[in-house]
Amino acid sequence: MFKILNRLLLTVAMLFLVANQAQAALQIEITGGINEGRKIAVLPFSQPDNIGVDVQAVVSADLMRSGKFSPLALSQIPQNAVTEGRLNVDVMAQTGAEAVVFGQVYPDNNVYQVEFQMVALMGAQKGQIIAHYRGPSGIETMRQAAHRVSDRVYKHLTGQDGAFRTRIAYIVYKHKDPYPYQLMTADYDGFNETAILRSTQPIMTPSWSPDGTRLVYVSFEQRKPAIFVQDIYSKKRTKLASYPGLNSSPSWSPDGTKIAMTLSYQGGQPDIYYYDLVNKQLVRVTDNPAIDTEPTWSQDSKSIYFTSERGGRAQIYRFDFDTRRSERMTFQGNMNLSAKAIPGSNSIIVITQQNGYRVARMDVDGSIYMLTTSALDESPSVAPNGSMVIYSTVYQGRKGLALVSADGRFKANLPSTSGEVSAPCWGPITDK
Amino acid sequence: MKNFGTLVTCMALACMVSACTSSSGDSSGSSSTLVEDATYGGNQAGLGDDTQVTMGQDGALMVGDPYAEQNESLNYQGPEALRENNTIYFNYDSETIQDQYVGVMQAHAQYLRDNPDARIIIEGHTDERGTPEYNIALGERRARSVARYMQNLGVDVNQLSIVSYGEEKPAEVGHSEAFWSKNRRAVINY
Repeated sequence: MFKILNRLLLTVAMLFLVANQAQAALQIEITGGINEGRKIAVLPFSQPDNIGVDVQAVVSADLMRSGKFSPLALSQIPQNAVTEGRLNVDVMAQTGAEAVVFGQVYPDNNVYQVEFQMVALMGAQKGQIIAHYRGPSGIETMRQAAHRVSDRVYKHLTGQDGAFRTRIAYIVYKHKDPYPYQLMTADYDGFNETAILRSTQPIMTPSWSPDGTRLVYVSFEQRKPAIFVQDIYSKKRTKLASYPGLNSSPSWSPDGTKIAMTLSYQGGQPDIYYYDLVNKQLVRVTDNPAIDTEPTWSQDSKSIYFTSERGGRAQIYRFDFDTRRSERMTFQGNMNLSAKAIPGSNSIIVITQQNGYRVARMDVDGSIYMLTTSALDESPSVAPNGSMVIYSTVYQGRKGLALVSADGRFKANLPSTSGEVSAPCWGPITDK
Repeated sequence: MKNFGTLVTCMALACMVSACTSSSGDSSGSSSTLVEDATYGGNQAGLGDDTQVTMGQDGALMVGDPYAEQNESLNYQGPEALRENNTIYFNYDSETIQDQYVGVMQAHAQYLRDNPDARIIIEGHTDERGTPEYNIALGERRARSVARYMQNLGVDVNQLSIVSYGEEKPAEVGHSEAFWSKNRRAVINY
């Protein structure tokens, strides 16, 4: 009896240890769209105890967070899904899942091999292997290897690249900390959080370089705003702009050659500029006494979306580098702010003022589709595959991040384990 | 399309960008400029580029001096009588200075006229509604509004600088009008 109890305690202690090792800086609370996605089953992987990552749990969570899938809970997976090493296709088909993913992690010389297969449970391919993959990983990259499984499964079932091996940047505010303002990066799911900059003064608007190695951001460390570019690995940085007045809203072009920003040193009027990284030259884009700000780039880097008050209230405009003209984009809603292109789509994400400030999608025909029902949304950032939007809002009385799918069906809050979180920026897919 | 001056001297303080700009013309833009505003922030009192930068144990850069900032209020160099009376509150989405703050403005203006070596930094702030980048621009408009008012009261432009913190430094943290009205403000610091 004692022996069993001891063993149980030991197991609990070990579980604790594992849980502590793999703590996510951001939790997830699904607030809409659960069970609305495509049903899929991910069976527990056969894996050694020492690898520190439960591959099935990571893959299942990834697919759920994509908003497109509703993976079965472990309790919904039949006991006899696998007997004597063979998958029972008919038993699994009764769960209603369209496909089942299963696999293993095993040692292979100095590394581990992560292997999976996906078998269709419906349609003409029922019982057939529709995807399989094997790739090496060390223990330290095992979470990434699990995300790679998710990317393959997602790509096979949706035809779209997965964005599970991406990083996000964000600002954490910790009230009592000697350096309360902190620029962090983390895996898209909040794991592997890394501090880039801690400051006594506000930090704003981190934006990724398209190769994912640098961040451009605004820092008030000199009691006035300045724009810095910082390498996230070496932590070395360069000051890009500290003009009198505004130095705000930096945004790296997708082709990597330019950084757009808002400056007000000419005549005190906030206008759009960009710094050309190739010609090392600052170029003015707009010249208007009304506020022009929040420049962001179209996917082809040939136009800039921005917010302007030139028509009265703030609305979204687009400056086209070919025609050199600015064209108003949004006409619905009292105000529209913070436009972001959606990769692979002609729609854009905006913050629209309608019963508060909410994340919305504007389609090509100009119609505005509300994606959220909250009131204080800001800083939307679109996943590099266009599937999801991460943004900052207020829930439970605090600032925190939240996710909504670009179709508005899936919604989740990402409460932080420490501090108030804002200004998320979704990084690029760097490894296919 | 308008043709703007091809070379405009850059007024950056510690700017590593090459010191010229070329205008590319925003066709719907206007050329009207507020020349006097360009001076604000050109001479920020007591704000050198001497920010402390170290590297933390986790490899993150650490900027600023937490100890110095805890003792900030001890370094107040303005008139003692105005120490607690340095904030101007604004209506929602407005930079208009309301009548009840004219007295405060006049008192600061008087002090600045009597002490030509004194310098102030006017901080513009907004509430949390709207986006942070838009609010930074609105905060700057509030700070400029106060600066212009000070100039109209006879204060030398070289005594004035402005900075906008937008919604980044709320006076009170909360998510309703009771808090927001305390955050839509301009603060005069010496």
